[in-house]
Amino acid sequence: MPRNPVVLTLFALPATLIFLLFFLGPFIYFVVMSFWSVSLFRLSRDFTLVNYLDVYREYGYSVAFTFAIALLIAVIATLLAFGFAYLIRFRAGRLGPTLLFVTLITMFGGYLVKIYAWRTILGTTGILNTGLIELGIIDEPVSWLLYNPGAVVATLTHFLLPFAVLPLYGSLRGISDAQLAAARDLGARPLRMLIDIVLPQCQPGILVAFMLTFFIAAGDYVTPRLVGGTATAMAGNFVENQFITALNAPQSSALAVAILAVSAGTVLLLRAVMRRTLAVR
Amino acid sequence: MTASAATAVASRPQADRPPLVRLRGLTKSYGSMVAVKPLDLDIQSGDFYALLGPSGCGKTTLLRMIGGFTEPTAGTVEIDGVDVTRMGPERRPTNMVFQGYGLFPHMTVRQNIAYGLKLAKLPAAEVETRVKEIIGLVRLEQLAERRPDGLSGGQAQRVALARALVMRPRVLLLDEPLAALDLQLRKAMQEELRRIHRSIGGTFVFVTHDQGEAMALANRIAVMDAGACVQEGGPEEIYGAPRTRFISTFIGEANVLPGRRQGGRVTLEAGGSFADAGADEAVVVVVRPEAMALGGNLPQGAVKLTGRLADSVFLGPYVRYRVELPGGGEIILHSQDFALRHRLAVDDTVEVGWTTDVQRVLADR
Amino acid sequence: MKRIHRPRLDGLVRTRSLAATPFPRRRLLQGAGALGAAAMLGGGSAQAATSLKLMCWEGYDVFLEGGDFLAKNDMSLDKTYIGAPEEIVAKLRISPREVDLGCPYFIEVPFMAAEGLLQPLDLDKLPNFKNLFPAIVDAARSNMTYEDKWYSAPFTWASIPLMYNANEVKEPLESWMDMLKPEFKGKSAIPADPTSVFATWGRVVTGNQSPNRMTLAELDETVKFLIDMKKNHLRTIAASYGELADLFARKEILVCEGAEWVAPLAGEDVDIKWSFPKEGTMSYIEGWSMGSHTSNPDAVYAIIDNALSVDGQLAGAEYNLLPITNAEALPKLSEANRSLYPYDDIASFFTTKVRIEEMYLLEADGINASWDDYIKGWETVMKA
Repeated sequence: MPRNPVVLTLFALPATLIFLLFFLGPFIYFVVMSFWSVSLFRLSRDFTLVNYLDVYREYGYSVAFTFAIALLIAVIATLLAFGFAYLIRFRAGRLGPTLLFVTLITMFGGYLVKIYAWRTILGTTGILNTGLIELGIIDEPVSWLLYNPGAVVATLTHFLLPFAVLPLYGSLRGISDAQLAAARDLGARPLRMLIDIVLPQCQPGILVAFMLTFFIAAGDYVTPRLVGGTATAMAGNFVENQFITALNAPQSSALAVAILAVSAGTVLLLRAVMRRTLAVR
Repeated sequence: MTASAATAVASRPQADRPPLVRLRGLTKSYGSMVAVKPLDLDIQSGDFYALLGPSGCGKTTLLRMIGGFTEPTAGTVEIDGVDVTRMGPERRPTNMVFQGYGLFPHMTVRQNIAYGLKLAKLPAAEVETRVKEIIGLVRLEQLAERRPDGLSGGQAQRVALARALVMRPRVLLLDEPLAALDLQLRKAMQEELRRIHRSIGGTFVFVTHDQGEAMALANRIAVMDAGACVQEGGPEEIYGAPRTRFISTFIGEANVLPGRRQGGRVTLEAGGSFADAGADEAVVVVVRPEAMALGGNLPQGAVKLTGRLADSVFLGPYVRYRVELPGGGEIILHSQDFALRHRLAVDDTVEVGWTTDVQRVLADR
Repeated sequence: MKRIHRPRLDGLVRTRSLAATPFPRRRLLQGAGALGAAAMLGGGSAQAATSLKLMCWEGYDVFLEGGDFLAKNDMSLDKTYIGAPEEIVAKLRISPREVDLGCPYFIEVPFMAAEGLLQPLDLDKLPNFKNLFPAIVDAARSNMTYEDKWYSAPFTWASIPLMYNANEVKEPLESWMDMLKPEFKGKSAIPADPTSVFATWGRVVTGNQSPNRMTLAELDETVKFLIDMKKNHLRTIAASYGELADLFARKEILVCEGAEWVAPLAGEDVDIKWSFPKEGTMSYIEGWSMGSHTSNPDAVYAIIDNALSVDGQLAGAEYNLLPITNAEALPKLSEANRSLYPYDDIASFFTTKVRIEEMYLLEADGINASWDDYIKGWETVMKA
């Protein structure tokens, strides 16, 4: 690494500019916007809290619903991913890299493709129904598989799994075989080893995996539309509706900021809980 | 804490005392690859025992089978009269110091050392006492609250040692304990290990590929080659009376001279012969460089060879000569007759020789 | 595009191709991929002598470009695909010079004209205008003119009829209420398009023949009806009209509120028919309008006229599975397209079969529902 401060500044400049221009700038703009209002397609720049009041009054339920479903998805995806990453790291031996490669490949499988794949699996004429009928387990296709919150959880979990596997695998790679062998040698049974040795060192990975899956799930509005059915309108759908159909960017921004705040709060809470429970005693 | 290594050495061999570790027919194979061939080995209480061999000889596999990390394909491991073959490491009265140490990076030195005792649910006061005691033994008082990433290699090594020793194992297993350290540190740690072994009087079994380290530490050495134990004994015995050509060259330096025994007489390819009872066969004669003599120092009745002096180097305690033999072989010779060096010049034709009591005649297989 | 006759491979391949190809109006949702692609489209070929800034639904640009118009006239289009027609209103408000032409939703045209966002069209500069079906010109007049001047030129249209799978539904359906029959429970759908949903069902529920001008009480009644329908009857609310075709193809639904072009998209395995129920069917006409601050009105006239020409009409109609408005294009139109739209009876179609809606109230008056109230109503349906 160069030591010259001028050279260092030059190196850091592009990343800083991109961050300011494409992330921080728009974000601040949306936060500011959320305190404005719109009427007859016209923006009024007078400070108002009415958008946030409406987040509470009008969208409180959907924010809570979104929070619950995103939490469920993030927890399932993180747990599954942890098991998967653990297998790759400690149990798969020579197969490990292949498994990891497969994970990466599925990540490139695309978002819509996964949605359509799940519809093909869960639909009335889908693989699952056809299979169950062929096996004689059911006589008529069951319709409750698709178009409900469960289908959203399944689809998003599948989509987000690779995002959770990678950071967890990264964390697990830092734990040497010798550490696990030593713990066992000192009398640790598998569960103790997990709690005392593996999880404390995995905290950053768990946090990143949870954060990625939770944020993406909480902000999604496409999956609920396509597989969620009539009862699964998530907050993202209202952000979209307010932004595009109602052209009410301020209301939309306030809703987005609220979701972001709830998400960030959840992640911070998880961090605090993990720090406390996994502390060495 | 009075039993010293010296008394342990003096008391061996002692057939009437049952061994602490008894391996019988212990075998490990991976598919068609045999890592450890059926092997019998006894380790006595108080031994500082080395499993010595080149890499891939099966010594680490053997150590892991003693510790319970690798399940043997056949045979039994008995410790203190109990068959532990089917027990996991957490249930065996052994503890291991791993290669790379495997310290827990999220715990302080003290927490690392106390971990096993806490798992065993010992009273907090006892945990504290024992941890303090062992920290004193390995001299880590100043570092007790540090985390492993703030330790040097030698310090980390001592933490790993303390973490295992605090469990008071019947047998302490060490996998290449000093391999990661540089030469200076290795010498210091060898001394440290000897001191610790002396002061607690336990039984240590360690794996090494470094014969010097085995010699420096162990009172008992098992030399392994290609999955088998080729010789087992005290360091002097293995050095002085290597059982095979492999051992003779692996342990220390040796001149290995091919020849043939015919009618009770061995004739070397390089010339020279002597009487030696035994079957008619191809043999090698092994002579240590320091047992060789040169020129005018040749004793009466020595086996003699003639060659060209190719090199002489002064190494402090001795002079090292290299003599090229007409047939293409060469002889290495260590001599403490420093005056001789001034009488000889490179390219001189010289006589080298040895008395038959310092040689080993081995069948050449 | 030969999408109509392409054999159906399997659900996945078909639906993927739907997601990847351009679509007519009101494909409400395309996912991030399509949005990203739209964002990348800006610019066009910068070398062309004339460049026009266009805002329209993806696919509509084919009408403008038909007959290799851009190359022949050394012109390029700087395109922004819209997700809702109100984006055009907003853009014209904020930076009027950034829109040379666009396809505003026709009921909003008088309001936009009154606001000075659009330029009146000189029909002499649109020679093909006189070839349009008179019935369509008549139907469009109320919304596309303001103070007797045309502000938009009709280039296509569509309706929101009652669609059903004729393999399963043997009796033709004649009322929207037929969709609520018990046999269609869990077998029916509506699109996530509040405009058409309120126009269609507002009329059914309240009998108000101007469903865009319902009272707050009527709107409330309609919302309650929709919530009940959603909770107890519908399979799903489809993300888009293309999604409805997919739902038919996968046998998830038998009946829905849809659009004519949904039928061929559903593939050949299902025979999708449609009817214009007795309560009334919403229809809409799409037109090209000129931004009030365009710097090159002549070029805008030329390209709009091309969209009305035989070449433009054929290109756009076949590509989008949408109807033509120029009578002269009819002889060359494909059989498939003719089977979708009532070209033979177009004169009476707009007066007897379908209804043209009018603009929503933009400002609340305490009795009648405003546009904001409709959106709120829709969100209430979504949230329920």
